[in-house]
Amino acid sequence: MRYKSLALGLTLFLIPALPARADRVGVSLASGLFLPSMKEFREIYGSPIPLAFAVSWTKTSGLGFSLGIEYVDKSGRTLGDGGETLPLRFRMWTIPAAISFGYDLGWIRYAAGLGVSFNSYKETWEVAGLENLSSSSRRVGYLALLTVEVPFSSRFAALARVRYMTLSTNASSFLAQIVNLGGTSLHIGVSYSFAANIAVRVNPLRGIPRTLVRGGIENSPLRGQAAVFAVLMNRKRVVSALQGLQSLDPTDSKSVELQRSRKEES
Amino acid sequence: MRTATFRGAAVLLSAAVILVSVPQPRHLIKIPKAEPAVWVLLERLQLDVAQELQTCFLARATLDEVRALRGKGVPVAVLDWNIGNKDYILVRDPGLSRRAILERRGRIAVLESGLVLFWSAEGPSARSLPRGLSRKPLPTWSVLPYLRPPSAAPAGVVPRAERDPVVESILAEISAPKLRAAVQGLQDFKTRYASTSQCESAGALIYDGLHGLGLPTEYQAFSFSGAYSSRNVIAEVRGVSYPDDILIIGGHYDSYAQTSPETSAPGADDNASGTAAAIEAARILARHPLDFTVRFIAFSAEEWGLYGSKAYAARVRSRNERIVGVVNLDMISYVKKPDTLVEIIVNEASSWLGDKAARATSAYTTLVPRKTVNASFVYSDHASFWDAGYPALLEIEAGDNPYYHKTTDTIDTLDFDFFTQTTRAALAVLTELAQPVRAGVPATPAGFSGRVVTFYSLFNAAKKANLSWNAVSGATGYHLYRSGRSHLDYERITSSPVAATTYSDAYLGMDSYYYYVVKAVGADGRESNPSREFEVKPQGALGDVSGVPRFALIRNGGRP
Repeated sequence: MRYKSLALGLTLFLIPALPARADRVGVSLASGLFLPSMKEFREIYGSPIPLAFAVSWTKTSGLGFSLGIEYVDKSGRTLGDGGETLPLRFRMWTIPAAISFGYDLGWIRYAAGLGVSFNSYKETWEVAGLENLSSSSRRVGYLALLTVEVPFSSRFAALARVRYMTLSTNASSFLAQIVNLGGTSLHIGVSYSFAANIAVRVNPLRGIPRTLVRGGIENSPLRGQAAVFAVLMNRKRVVSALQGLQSLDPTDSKSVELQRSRKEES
Repeated sequence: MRTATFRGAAVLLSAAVILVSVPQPRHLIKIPKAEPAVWVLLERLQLDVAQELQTCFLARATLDEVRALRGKGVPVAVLDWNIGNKDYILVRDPGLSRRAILERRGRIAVLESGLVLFWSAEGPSARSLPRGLSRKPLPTWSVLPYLRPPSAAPAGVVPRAERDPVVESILAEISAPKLRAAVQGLQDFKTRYASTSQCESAGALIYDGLHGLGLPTEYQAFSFSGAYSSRNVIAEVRGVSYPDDILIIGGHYDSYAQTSPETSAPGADDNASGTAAAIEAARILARHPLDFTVRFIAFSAEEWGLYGSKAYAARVRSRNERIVGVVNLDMISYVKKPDTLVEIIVNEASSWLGDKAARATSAYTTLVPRKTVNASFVYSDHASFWDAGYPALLEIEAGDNPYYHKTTDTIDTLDFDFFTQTTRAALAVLTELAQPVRAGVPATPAGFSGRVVTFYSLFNAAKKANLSWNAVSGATGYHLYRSGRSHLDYERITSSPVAATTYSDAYLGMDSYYYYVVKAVGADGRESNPSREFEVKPQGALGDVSGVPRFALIRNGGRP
């Protein structure tokens, strides 16, 4: 039930973001520093180094959507009185999803966005006999991010990202009334992107969306929502369509030719 | 026009400054105990708790604190909107007819069944209160640090303790004739009403008796009710192993009678009996070396409002003395045969002492003990020790004495068989706690102390007790014992004797009390008396408290 609600919420949230026509699709790999907001978190674990992977779709209008996955794994020592400490380990998987709006100036692309993150964390006591003190749970957080990309080839770019995330666990402890796992992440990495068009057409008679991968643009006012349904109901076709996106790259002369011929056919 | 505007603004600004700078008035409030979150809220808000009662707390609070409590769903009742310099007195409810007298002399609030609060808006409340009513002034300090939430300790019948031959032999020294002589001696003063010279003379008699036993004895003078002064009498048997850990046995020696307390208040049962038992305990224990120090105290001005014990408890608190427990004896010699019931009354923090006394009473006497946790029973000297944060019990006869506070409360109404048994009960628990030095076993390990090491992660915590003690000559090792209840039910945690004089007990849960003692083991395997106790207190999480019982958010740590 929880996952269904989450999926529905995410879907509704992402409806306006999903472009009927995405001009760039990209993937990125980044790492850096996670600076936790909670003082005690920093004292126990310092600043963990996250490893982040993300995919993004960006329209020519600048509106974009990104979805990623991130992992943090850090050892720490307990706080306390008496000068003795015990080993701890903290691990967290984060799936951030964000809508952003940005500009492409050619030599630099930058975007600012807001989103949600789905987080799964676990803190373990690495001491025999104290395993029962370990804690784990899953929580949803909110995030704001700023991304800057500097292309160094037609498809590759250097990436820098600052992301602030709130993540209240609702868990009370001896150190805080509510343990907060949020904080600021500083990422640097590499992105790979290419231009692509995804069009969606709705069959008004059946009311069933149909995914099309065409060179043309569907101007239906419901295209965003239709795209969501299309993605949900025609996942296989979308995947196969995405596999063919390479051939639709507008910077590629063959693709331009192909698009033109398809337009004429339609 | 402009001038008038400026003036108006200046007036408004001044009024605002005055309003902001005037401190908030403090209210006397009643907080029911029924809400489980109340214990946490008191601690979280660091409320100025004046008194714990059986069903509620009385606290001094600002309006913001009242709002905070009500915001958490606690139905706070404001008893007095402005405390000012007023003093408040708990009074045993005198009944509807006499309540009217109180209402004419001041204000009252019914707190719970049988208990009212009295205060006067004009001058000291004690002067406005009619004589003869059982009373106790509210402490002017916060008793919050001394409160203890109800434990999960089993209630009802307590297991009978094993008889210890050494304790048995000591109890055999109790002399009924000596008890009788002591009561007679006190009764012979005609009255011991604390404001009279006879009371002072009675104090001198007690002093001479205790001093004559060879014990270091002293007076503690104090003033009460504005115009009077009196003296407590204090004697001591110094402990061998732990001289700074102190047990107290005592009772008040002043008396009262309703008709003419200045001239006739024999007070044989109330409370020559308790005083005589304390003197008899001193006579016996003066001849026996003990591990812990025992003080024998005759308090004065109890009938006026526990003034003597209040002065003494304040003194030991200011000196930061370690009081292990207090046995207060008040009216222990009247019984309607064939009744054998004796009441042992404690508050939650003293519950272990009540259980210890009940077990000793079952083991060493023919009496039937009835331990009751009742924080509202504050009409004797034990309550002064509760207010100062020390464990204390009241031992008192169960039946109503028809001669109570009358000129007929004389020695001929007492039952000396019963009196001897109640004295045995008191001396038994005192002796078990004070621990007679035994022959043929190693000496009690001295210097037992500990340090708690705490480990915090983001979500949880654990702790460890690092214990240490002094080496005992002739000991081949040491056994450590641990319990969840003070002075009760220790279980050995060392499978074989440890040779070192240190021990770490890891890891402990955060939400429990732990009590440790160490015993030295001789070459023949016999164990010494236990050391003094080291207490590890629980610690609560910092979570939101709405509807959450204390420690509910905390998981227990692993046990070794």
